[in-house]
Amino acid sequence: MEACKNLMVETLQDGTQSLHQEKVVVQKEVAFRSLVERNQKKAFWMAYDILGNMEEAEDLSQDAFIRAYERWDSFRQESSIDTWFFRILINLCLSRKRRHGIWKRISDWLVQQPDEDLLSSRFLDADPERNIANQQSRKALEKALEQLSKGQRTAFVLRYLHDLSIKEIAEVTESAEGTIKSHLFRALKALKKTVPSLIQEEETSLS
Amino acid sequence: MSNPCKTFQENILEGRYSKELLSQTGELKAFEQNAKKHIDACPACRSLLETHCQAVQLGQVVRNEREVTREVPQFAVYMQGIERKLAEKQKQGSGWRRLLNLPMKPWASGAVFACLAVLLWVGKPWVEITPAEKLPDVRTNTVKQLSPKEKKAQKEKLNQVLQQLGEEFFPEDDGEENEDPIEQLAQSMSNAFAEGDNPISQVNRDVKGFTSLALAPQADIQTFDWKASPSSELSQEKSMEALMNYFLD
Repeated sequence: MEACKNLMVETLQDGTQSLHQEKVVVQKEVAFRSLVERNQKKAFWMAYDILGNMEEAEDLSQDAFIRAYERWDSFRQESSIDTWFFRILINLCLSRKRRHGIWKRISDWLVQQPDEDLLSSRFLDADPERNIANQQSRKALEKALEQLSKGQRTAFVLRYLHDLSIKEIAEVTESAEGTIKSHLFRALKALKKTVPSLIQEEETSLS
Repeated sequence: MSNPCKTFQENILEGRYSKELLSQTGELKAFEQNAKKHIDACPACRSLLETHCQAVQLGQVVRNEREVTREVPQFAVYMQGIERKLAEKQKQGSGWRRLLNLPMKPWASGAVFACLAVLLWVGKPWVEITPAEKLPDVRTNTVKQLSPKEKKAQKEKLNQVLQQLGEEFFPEDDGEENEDPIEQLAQSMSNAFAEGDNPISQVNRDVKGFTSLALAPQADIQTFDWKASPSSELSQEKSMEALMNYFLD
């Protein structure tokens, strides 16, 4: 009788455990889908702004989601899930940039690549005139961003193009707030000459 | 960044000041009044605020433009892409297998290790490195340039050594001239030729005589006639065998 009782308790406990596990899995799936839905576009543009390449940005933003899914259990809820995800994305972008830095320089030197991003249909607008103006302004912005160092570019992109606060940037890049401020200060100083012309171009393209 | 400017510039970067701070007519918040006085007086802070405001404006324009950009992949399609990639990644496994893009097959590891082993075995002589002590030391092979004084000293030393050796092996006869040992040897050889006795055949005879001695174990080495001609019937093999027997006995 006692053995039977123990067996029943064990079965119930196993059942509860498996139910709990299933619940956790379902919760994870739902939370992951929600994360992707919320940040799909933002992740792509963030990767694009740092890497400056369409295909790589698309590939890497997906890789970042995959890595987030794989490391879901290691999320310690010290920050928001979005900040945690962006940290993964930025780390991936920076390591990719570091890895391909030398090869890109060599390939750029060897072959004059056509500007595929400007020709990409993703950026094509219904209005041809506006389309050309947008392309020009984007090209000018890209040129301006190329002048900056990796840290300055990342800080500038996150602060001004993605509207993150300095605290959020520090969390995402795992740097001190002072470092981010320093990067921003230098980036703005370097872009001082380029940005007014960009603004003018943007205004004419919008008018 | 100088100290009075630091706080203002940090506030600018954090976006605490509005664009109105730059204009003369705009309404200002209470905490901005003090900043306005400083920014109006400090060209560095004013320049920073201007650039910051332009960058903020640029960011807004870019974000708006991206909002209306067409051809955003649908969520379902995007999720499918992620799921496919994730499945491929799990199928491929991790670590070096993914690095080499090898399939997750049971024989994959074995095949790779077998190939590596064969390569290593084939390339072993190439891979093998000669021990450092076996390599000739290039530095010591360089010819040392001696000064004339050193050359002279070395020559004298060499002469001394040769002289000592000569005295040891060819002791001087009393009342006779000290001749060169090489000359002595040449003289003795020419004498031998003159007598019709070839010194080289003499040496050969001695060797063959020794083998004859070996064949006759009872013979007394002391009384053995070294000049006697050896028996020609014996083959070299037999001689060697006999020699071996002699030494083993």
